[in-house]
Amino acid sequence: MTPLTIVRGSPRHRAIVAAIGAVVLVVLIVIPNVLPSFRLFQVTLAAGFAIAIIGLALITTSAGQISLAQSTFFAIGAYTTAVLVADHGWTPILTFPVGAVFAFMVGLLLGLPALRLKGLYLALVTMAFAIITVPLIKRFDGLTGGNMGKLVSTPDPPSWSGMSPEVWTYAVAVTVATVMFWLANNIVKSGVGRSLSAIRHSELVAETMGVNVAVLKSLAFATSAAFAAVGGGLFTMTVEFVAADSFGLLISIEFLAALVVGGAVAIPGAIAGSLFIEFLPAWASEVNDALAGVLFGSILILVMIFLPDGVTGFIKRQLSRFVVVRHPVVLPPTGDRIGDQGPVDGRVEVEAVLE
Amino acid sequence: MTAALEIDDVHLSFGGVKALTGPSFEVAEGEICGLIGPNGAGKTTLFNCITRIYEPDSGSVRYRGRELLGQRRHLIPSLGIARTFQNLGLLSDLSTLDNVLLGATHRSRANLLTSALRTPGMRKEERQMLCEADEILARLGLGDVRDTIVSDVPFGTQKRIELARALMIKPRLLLLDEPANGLTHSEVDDLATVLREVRDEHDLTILLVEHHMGMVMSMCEHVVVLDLGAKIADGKPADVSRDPAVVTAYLGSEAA
Ligand SMILES: Nc1ncnc2c1ncn2[C@@H]1O[C@H](COP(=O)(O)OP(=O)(O)OP(=O)(O)O)[C@@H](O)[C@H]1O
Ligand SMILES: [Mg+2]
Repeated sequence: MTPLTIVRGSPRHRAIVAAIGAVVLVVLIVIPNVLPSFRLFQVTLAAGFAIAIIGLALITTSAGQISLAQSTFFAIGAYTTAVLVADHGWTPILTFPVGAVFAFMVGLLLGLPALRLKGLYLALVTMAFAIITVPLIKRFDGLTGGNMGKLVSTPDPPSWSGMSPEVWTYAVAVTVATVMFWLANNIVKSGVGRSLSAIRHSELVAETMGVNVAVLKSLAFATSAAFAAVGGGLFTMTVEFVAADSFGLLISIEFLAALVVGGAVAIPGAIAGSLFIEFLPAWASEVNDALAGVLFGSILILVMIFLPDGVTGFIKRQLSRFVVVRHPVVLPPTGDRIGDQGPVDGRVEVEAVLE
Repeated sequence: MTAALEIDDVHLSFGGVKALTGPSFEVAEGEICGLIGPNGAGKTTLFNCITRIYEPDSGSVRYRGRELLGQRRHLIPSLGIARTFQNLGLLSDLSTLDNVLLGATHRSRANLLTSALRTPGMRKEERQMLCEADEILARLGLGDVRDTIVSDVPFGTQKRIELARALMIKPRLLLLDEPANGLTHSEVDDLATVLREVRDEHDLTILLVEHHMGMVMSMCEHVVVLDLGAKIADGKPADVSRDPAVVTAYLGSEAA
């Protein structure tokens, strides 16, 4: 069977994207109305995780660099929000860009030396960052609350929204996540995303093709740090409490696990992965405490063996037997192909040729 | 005629292996120059020196009078130099189109921020690149595999995809490492025709490493022969092929 070809940007493609968008919107609106408040809290948390995971995908899935420092940047965002909201009375959403910029700069600083290393060595150095983070937070307990933690009560939702505090927090989290997903998706699909893929494949080939590997790796690392920080900011807004021990190496490992399980397709992969790390252990431990770890570990192993490109990679491969989405063919006006759609920018855009 | 490329006494050894022992030659602007020699002669090593993958122990490589040694590797495409790899340097899990588009990297003004925001300028550039890539794909008869993942196409086609990617760089100097390897006879003829045409259209200078002697002798205006890291002959194809040193170097080797 010949798969159905859909051209990016064509009316059919737009209709499908709009339809998927509508379904997602409906689901997002239904969620707070049907889920009990604790589940809603979990979904809101997952949104924050998903942002950190999509950031990790930029350097790990795209550029092939394994980083365990994502918990460090998650903490930077979490504490930026905590301090600004609790001590300076900021509205949470305004603190996210501050945390992002801060993490970006720290990311650049740490990334410059770290990214000279590759593979296992990069993983080990970034692991060291993750390990240092918790004692550092405790060291500055005047600011961070250290071991005891810091309460961060967020302001009431604006009255025009008519929402309860939980639903408002959920709405903010989902909106911020949508924006971050859009940004990440744009990067992955762009020429810069292609350059990142080239780095993963071979730094030597990437450089020979004109990619400034050292600079791009550092910037991508810093960008992924900024994403983690936004996720951390959402975490603080949702939990309304931060304590040093929530920001250990374990979260970094969970983020990596989420990438593996979620898989190769950037956005859906990050969402699936974040739901996995948030819900699976919680559900399992409601049954039995030991079950959580066993189930988490077994699923991870099974995915790595049977679904090397993760759940979404697997689904994508299955779907691609039926539907293929591709770029439009853009040829100069002389192109004598079938299906001319009329001039665009003085050129002729040619629709899919279904054979 | 001015020299597009000057190789001057380039030495490079790997431990005890002397891969290049001081070959010197010039490639004139606009010519198709063959670089031949038995296996292990140092042809690929020389390409790697020109494109800054290997650092020679001594010597000089000049492109239009400009010293290349000391240049940063990722800036070579923006100087107008493109290459293909003997053993392919494609991103095997991406489509043909994506691989070809990678060649436009050095011309792109995109950065992480403009890409993330998908600014109008970015979109315009994307369209422009897409258009150029499609022209090149059509030119090389790769339209059918445009959206195919590279690892799913035959080796000979992958070689052509690499050529397409190199052309996407919009080079003035094109270094081809065994482009005809894995092609059938008729494909080799097509390749020779296309190469001559793009050379004429884009004022290219081509340095061609190839074991396919028929192709070298028919296409090249100038042939340089390396053996054991040294130049043993340099001249017109007809003269070179009669050169006793060349005949000796090739004796018993598989070159036809
Ligand atoms: N990275 C390296 N490390 C060690 N030795 C190398 C390296 N690269 C090349 N050589 C050696 O340098 C010599 C020249 O190799 P090169 O690949 O340049 O030959 P070639 O002329 O391209 O041969 P072929 O026609 O087989 O491709 C060989 O002896 C090879 O083993
Ligand atoms: Mg070689």
